[in-house]
Parts: sequence; structure tokens; C-alpha cells
Amino acid sequence: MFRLIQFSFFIFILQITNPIFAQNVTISGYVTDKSNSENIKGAMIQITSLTGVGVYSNSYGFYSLTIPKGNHTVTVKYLGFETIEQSITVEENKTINFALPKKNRQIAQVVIKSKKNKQDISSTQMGKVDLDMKEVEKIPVILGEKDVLKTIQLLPGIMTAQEGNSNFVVRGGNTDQNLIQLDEATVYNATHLLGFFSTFNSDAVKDVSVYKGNMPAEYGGRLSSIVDIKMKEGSKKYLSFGGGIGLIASRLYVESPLFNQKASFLVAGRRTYVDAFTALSSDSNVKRSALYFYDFNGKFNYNFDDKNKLYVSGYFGRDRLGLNGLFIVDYGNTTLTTRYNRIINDKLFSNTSLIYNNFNYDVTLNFQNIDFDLYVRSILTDFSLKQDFDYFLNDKNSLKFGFLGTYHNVLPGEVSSSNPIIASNTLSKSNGLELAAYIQNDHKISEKLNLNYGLRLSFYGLIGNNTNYNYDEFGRVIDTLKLSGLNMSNVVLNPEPRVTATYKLNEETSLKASYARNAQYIHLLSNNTSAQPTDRWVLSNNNIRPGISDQFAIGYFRNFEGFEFNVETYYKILQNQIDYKTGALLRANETIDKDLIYGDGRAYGVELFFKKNTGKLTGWVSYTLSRSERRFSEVSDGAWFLSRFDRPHYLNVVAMYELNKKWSFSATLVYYTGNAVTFPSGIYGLNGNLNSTNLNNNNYFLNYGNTRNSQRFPDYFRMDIAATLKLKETPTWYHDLNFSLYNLTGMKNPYLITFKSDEVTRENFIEKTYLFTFVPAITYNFRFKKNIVKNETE
Amino acid sequence: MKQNNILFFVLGFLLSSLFLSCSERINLPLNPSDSKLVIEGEVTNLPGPYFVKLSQSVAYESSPIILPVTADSVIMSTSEGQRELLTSNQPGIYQTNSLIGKEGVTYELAVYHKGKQYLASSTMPNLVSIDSVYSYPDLFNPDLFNVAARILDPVNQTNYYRYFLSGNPKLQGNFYVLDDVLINGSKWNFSTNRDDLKRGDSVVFNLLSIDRPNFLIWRVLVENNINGTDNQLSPDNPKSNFSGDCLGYFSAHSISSRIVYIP
Repeated sequence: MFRLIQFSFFIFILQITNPIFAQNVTISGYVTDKSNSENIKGAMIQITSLTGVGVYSNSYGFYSLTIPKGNHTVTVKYLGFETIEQSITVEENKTINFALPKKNRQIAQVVIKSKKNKQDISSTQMGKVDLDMKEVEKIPVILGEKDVLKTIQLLPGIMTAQEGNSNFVVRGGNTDQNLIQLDEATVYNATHLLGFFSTFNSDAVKDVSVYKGNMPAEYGGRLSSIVDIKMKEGSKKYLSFGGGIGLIASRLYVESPLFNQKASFLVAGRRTYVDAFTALSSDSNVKRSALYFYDFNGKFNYNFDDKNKLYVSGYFGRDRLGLNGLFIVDYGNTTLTTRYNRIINDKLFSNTSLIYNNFNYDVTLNFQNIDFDLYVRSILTDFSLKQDFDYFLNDKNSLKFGFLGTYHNVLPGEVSSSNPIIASNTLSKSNGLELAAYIQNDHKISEKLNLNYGLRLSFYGLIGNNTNYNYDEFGRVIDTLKLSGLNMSNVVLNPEPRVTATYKLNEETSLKASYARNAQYIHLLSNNTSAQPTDRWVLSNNNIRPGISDQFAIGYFRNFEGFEFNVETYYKILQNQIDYKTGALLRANETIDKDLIYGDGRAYGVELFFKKNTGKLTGWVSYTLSRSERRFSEVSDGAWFLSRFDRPHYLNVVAMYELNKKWSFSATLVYYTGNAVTFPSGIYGLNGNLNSTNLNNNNYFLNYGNTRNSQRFPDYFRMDIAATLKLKETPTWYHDLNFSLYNLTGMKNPYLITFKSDEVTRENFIEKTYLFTFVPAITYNFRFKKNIVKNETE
Repeated sequence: MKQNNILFFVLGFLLSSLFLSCSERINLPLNPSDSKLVIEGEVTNLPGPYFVKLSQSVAYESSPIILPVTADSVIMSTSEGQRELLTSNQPGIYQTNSLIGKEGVTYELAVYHKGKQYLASSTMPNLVSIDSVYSYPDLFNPDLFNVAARILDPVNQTNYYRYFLSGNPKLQGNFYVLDDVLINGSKWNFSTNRDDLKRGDSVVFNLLSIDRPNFLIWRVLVENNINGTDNQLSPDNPKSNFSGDCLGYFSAHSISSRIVYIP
């Protein structure tokens, strides 16, 4: 046994030092989109003449590949782009950039005959979905507003939290276990209008990747998923502007190269205009209402030279809801990311990011009738520094390593009021520091076996001003600990190993297996499935333990002519999950952690995904069979109970059909088992005020339930359709009309089920509240494009 | 003019599809549960008799019939050494005959039923009086009224309140609970959100000073009553302050009441 280990170690060293033995050279460069010179991440660069020699471009489109001297054929491919094949002769280290042309749907049927255009099955990545932004544009969503967070909910293992909502749940987790990042900046509340719209304007989004728990070591910080959203950089070839006019919102963007293509920028904005209509209303209450959101995205990049690039990108969005003069809720996110890319040498790539993100809300209440006024301000700010290195060691090993430091500053509620008593009830600040270092290797063991292994070491503690409480068994504060200064407290260190193995059975089929551990140090306390701005983020402290998840998965991946099929099955163990004590209150609660209870979770399931990529009809079928459970010693006598997002059957069908050059159609179908909920099982009466005159009254009918979440909402079913009519399509000018109908069959899917009592007859009844039956929408989209680079043609 | 109509049509359509919802009554299959004993007992600072009411829970239905329960015996005793066997003149209703409710005294209630004993105790807090009461028009409909009471919360103690309106048949069934964590020592307006009162109505505003166990019970009853909505923090059954598996509460509280007339 020892000999065997020694031998394999020797082989390993041999592979690492491999370049010494051969006359090798390194080719490196960027893979870009030919139409606008934006970088393409995750493109596969393969040397056709050498089996098994290939590499993926990194997050910034950079690749590096070490190959023997001589003549080779290189193929470069990426989803949604034409595969290019190129003959190269290399005698010394060389920079070779590849520009991929976008795939034209009309000629796709011809191209697909070539075997090389297949989806990649050999990557060492499982549980990952990349969203094709072209598909996002086609898929119908409510009110015609394209939305990446709603489109990912049509993929296996990703469930909507509630109808029409951008909040989602991944593989039996909770809604706060998803890290949503826009250009590496965390977006804490990724929704507008209480969740009905996401904060991401699809005009500004370049690509979206979702890692469903099996993330490589470079990602971390949440238990269930990472949603990595990258903004468009702005075209380096043409000036373009465009936008859309929809029923509730309008969009506008501009992008252009600058300084002789050394730089480019993109600016995009959106605003809803429901309030423009409400201002015209004769009803004074409607007239006074505030109801809008807007957001801006901007990105600028500058190439100092071939080796040094700078990116600056940001997001700013606000929502305003309320009745002017009575109450106003104002909330939104701000993010700012500055990144510096440097090619240190032809094998080593560096990225340094400085990231700022902020989520805040203001609540103003002014009820003059009862002399009540209140102004609450809550702010959550992160400052991060991130350093990543990509080291393309040789044709067998691609290493990534780096570190991330994030300082969290949480101001849960600063209260002011004309009444000094209310004003004194500001909630204590908390500050935390999250550090992580990682190293990972994408290792080609053999032509058939690829391995990605790595370790993320996360370190967390409170730092600066914090207030910790210790409680007795009745929840009374027995000890208050005021912390300040740079000494860290409540420190934890979590090694998070990650490994994925891919075994290629043949050119079309592979088997994959993976394991990943994740830790989470910031948690959302919410009593809603929909996203409310006032939901409260809390840092781990002496009472709130960091969450830990372990996920095991195996999968089968297969491609055949124009189709892809995969099955993944997972088992996830969750530790230190949070629930609430009976009677817990989230609002204005300084000692919120005494009202929390801690327990475990487990989730498992099978995800099936079948996709047709070519032809006039494209689309997919996704089915997930799953279970998600929790266990708290305080609930149901410590027995396992169903998570409220336990929905055993979850089916999505997406179909897109290109009828001709003018018309295209799409349809989606969503079916899932209803949420697990606690319904009343019995009823009793209380008087609440016993005196001789009313002894036989039951003023109050109360319900009581059995086991937590032992009953179910009715099953959910919905179908949406959309049609796009291209009005004009030329290289410079494009415009179309998009028609959509949400909930085609008019299903009255319950949004809420409430057990009520009639105030007059005292009769009990069950009431279902539903939204959105037959919601038609029409959107006009336009785009102008002018090539302003003289020596090149499209 | 015509354009305006179209605008309002669009607006109305948007608002109704987005922000207004439709409701309808439905039937759902529910798991029925076993019947439980429900005990409700009160002692106040007002002259007696004080009552204890025994009943039974039933399966969920639209018009439940709550049946009275006859106990083997119901006994109330005080921290001052008094002890009294409660008598019953009508099914399920037990009353004291000589016991006097006093602030600061701890009362204990023992109910013996079918060989089981249910015990609870409660301490009557000091009286907090209503300063003044007033009515004000509803924010959205000026023809309807809400009422509120001004109360000066005592500064040097932790106070728990339960308050409700009575004296008008349409006001049954709404209770409010509040502690003084946020308002300690301040003059505070305790408001209600019953907006169905009209000019000429009069109601009684009742302010109860309750002890902490009762505050916890009532807070769960008011805020966490299992009503099926998805928006509940942790749907759970309220724990009674009785030892033994039963529902209900035993509360010794002091009452301050004022009549509010809406002019």
C-alpha cells in the first residue's frame, strides 16, 4: 500500500514537472466575443491533435496552455457561439487571442451536424448551470420584464420561494443561503417591489452562473448556492444604444468604445412608472401613494496594455413604497467593484478586486392622530478585498489560489422620533470580519479522469463595536458584553474541502461525483417567503453559530446529436440552522438571539434535465424529486419535520420555437407540490374577559395545530406563453414587439390560505388569496448599433 | 378625456393584477386532532365574584359547538393563605364567593378533572390607570373611527398590558398586547385598529395589567395563532400557564376601564 502511494506521488510530481522533459512552449491570450470584444469565460480551448490537452478560459477570458513545439490544430468553443478551428505553428511562447462569432440561429441547423459543437461533458464541475442570456430574452415572465432570477427558477434544483417572486431556494436550503453576486459584490436584497422583480436589469447582464452547492474552492460564504452575475463590459467595436418600453417599466442603455478601443463603457437604467398613473387618480389615497423603483448599472474598462486591464462597475437601485405623509419605506442596494487584471507571465494571471456593497432601508411613519412618529434607518455595508491567481501550470494542472477579506458592518435599526423614549431604542451595531484563503487544482489525471480538488479555509470573528448577550433559561439577559477595538472575538476557523471527479466513459458520456463543505456567517431573519426590505441580517455571534453544509453528489452526463441529458443526485447535511421560538418578534428586538433556536437540516433529491439545443424547436424539461427536512429539539419534540420549501415534485418545461424570420414563440410550464405548512387541526374558544354579563361568549376562536408543517398547500400549476415579432433586423437597427400572457389557463393558485372568522356571523371559514390570473403584457424593444471601428467589418 | 379613460384602465388593470389580489372561500382536507380541556380563569382588582370557565376543543369546522366541561373540583388559593372551593351554577362556569382580588397577591388555581390535576398561578400586577381616552377618524375613511387611550407607563417596573374594547356587540374578539420595553416610563397612546365605529357609538376601553406568563401566552395568541398563512414566524400552539396538557390561561390582572363616546 505504501509503495502504491509512493508511486502515485511520484507520478504526481512527474506530471507537475512535466514541462522539463519536453520541448514545450506556452500559448496564452484572451477569448472574446467577436461582435463586441467582450471577454468570454469558461470557453474551452483544445488542441485537437493532442488528445486530452485543453483548458478553460478563466473569469476574465484569459487562458494559457503549454504544448509541444510544432504545428497544431486548436478548437475553441463556447455555448451560444460558433466553434472555431485554427491551425497554429508555435516555436516559442506566444500570445494567441481568439474571437468567437455569435451563433446565428438560422444556420444553427447546419452547423450542428459537426460533432465538435456538442456541449462539454468533461468539465470538473457539477451542480452548475450557466444561463444563456439569449434564452432569458425569449422566456416569458410576468409583465414582460425579463428577469434572470426568475429564469433560473426554471432549472432543476432551484425552486421559487413564492409565486411571482425573485427569491428562490436551492436544493432544500433556505432563501438566505444563496449568495447573489453582481461583479463579485454581494447583493443582499436582490429584489424590487417586495420580490416581484429582481434587481438585475438584463440589458446590463452578460452571463449568469449558478453553483448549486458543489462550488469550487474559489467560491464560498453561503450554504446552498452562489449566483455569479457578470455585467456586460461595453462593446469595444460599436456604439450601441437601446432599450425597451414595457407596461410597468422602461429601460435604456448605451455602450461604446472609448480612447481608440483602449476602453469601453456601458450604462443601463430602468424605472417603473406606475406612480405616473397614480398621480392622475382622483382618489386621494391612490394619489398620495408612492410606488416605484429604479436602478442603474454602469461599467467601464480600460486596457493599459496587453497585460494590464482595469474594470470599474457599479449598481445603484432604490425602491419607494408607501403613502406620502403617513408612511414611506425607501430601500435599495449600492455596489461598486474595481478590478485590476494583470498577466504576470504567460502562465500566471492575477486579479485584484476592491468591492463595496451596501443595502439600506429607511422607514418613516407619521401618525399624527396618535402622536406617533418614527424614523428607522438600517444599513448593511461590506468592504472586501479579493486577490485571485490563476496559474496554468501545465497541460495537466490549472491552479487557482487567492484570498478574500470582507468587513461586515451591520446597523440593524437606528431609531429617531420626536418622542425621546422611542428614539432611545436604537439597536446595537455589529461588525464582523470574514477571511478566506483558497487553493484548487483542476487536474487531468488521465484522458478519462479529471479531478478538481481544493481547500477553502474560512475564518470569521466579530471585530470592533459589538454587543453580546448571555441569557438564562428564561431568556433574560444575565450578562452584557460590550466589545470594541481590534481584538476579535467569537472566532471560528472552518476548513472547507471541495472535490469533484469526472470520469469520461466515452466522447458523449461522463460520470461525476463531488463533495463540498460550505460555511455561512451572516444570516437573514425573516418571517416571510417573499422578500421584505425590513428582513433583518444578523452576524454570527456568541449565540448564533455559523451554518455548515456538507453536500455529496453524483451525476451522469450525456450528449447526443443536438441534445443533452443529465441526472444529478445529491444529499446535503445542514448544521446550525435557525428557527424561532414561539412568540418571537423580529421587529425592534435588541436581544433577538434569545428568540432563536438552532437545529439541523437534511435534504436529498434527484434532478433530471433534458435539453434540446438545435433546430426550430429548442427548450428543456427539468424535473426534481426531492425532500428537505429540519430538526429542532424545541419543535415537534425533536423529531424531523418538513421544511416549508419541501416540494417533492417540481417540474418545468420550457419550449422555444422559431417559426420564421419574423415570428418566434415560447412557452413555459411549471408544476410543483404545494409548500409544507401548518394548518389548524382543532379549534377552541376563549372569552378573554370573564364577567357575569358575558360568560357564555367566546370572544376569540383559536386554532391549534398538530405537527409542524405536516399539511400541504394545494399543488401549483401555471403555463405562460410569449411571442416575439421582429419588426426590423439590420446590422444597425433592430426592433421587436414581445407579447406575453402569464398564467394562460387562469389557475387560481393560492398565494395565501387564511383561516378566518366572520365578524358578524362568527362562522369560521378558509380563504384562499390568489394573484395573477391571465396577465397579458406587451413590450417594445429596440437597439441601434453602429460600427465605429474603421478598419474592421462585422 | 378618452385618453384619460384608457390611462385609468391601464392603471386599474396593473394595480389589480399586481397589488390587489382576489380571494375566495375554499375547502381543505384537514387532519382532525384530539379534544383537549380548555381552562380560562381570571381574578381582577374589581369586586368579585371571579370566574373560571371550562370547555373542550373540537375539530376545526365552520360553526364549532364548544361544549362546557364539568370538573371534579375547582379550587383557588392565595399567597395570603385563603383557599376557596369554587361553586357552579351553570355547566362549565365556576365562581368564587368570598375571595377578594388584590394587587401584588399571587393566586393559584387548581382544576381536578377525570383524575388529572391542572395547576396554574398568577400574580396580580399593580394597577396602571388610563389617563384619558379619545377617538379619531380613520386614515382612509373619515366617516369611521378608531379609539385610543393615553397611558403613563410606570418607570420603575416592567409592565405588560392587554387591552381591548367592549360594550358594543360588534367589537368582540380583538385583543392587543404590549410590553413596556420600548415605552418604559413614557406617556403612550394605546391605539386599536377597529375602524368600524361610527359617530354616536360608545365603547369601553379596557386596559389590563397582566403578568409576564400571561403576556407570553397572549402574545402568541394574538401574533402566532395558527391561521395557515405562510408568513408566520413559527406556527406553534400557545403554551398555557397550567401544568398538565390543556389549553387556556389563568390570569390575575388589574383593570382600568373608560368609556369612549364618539361625538
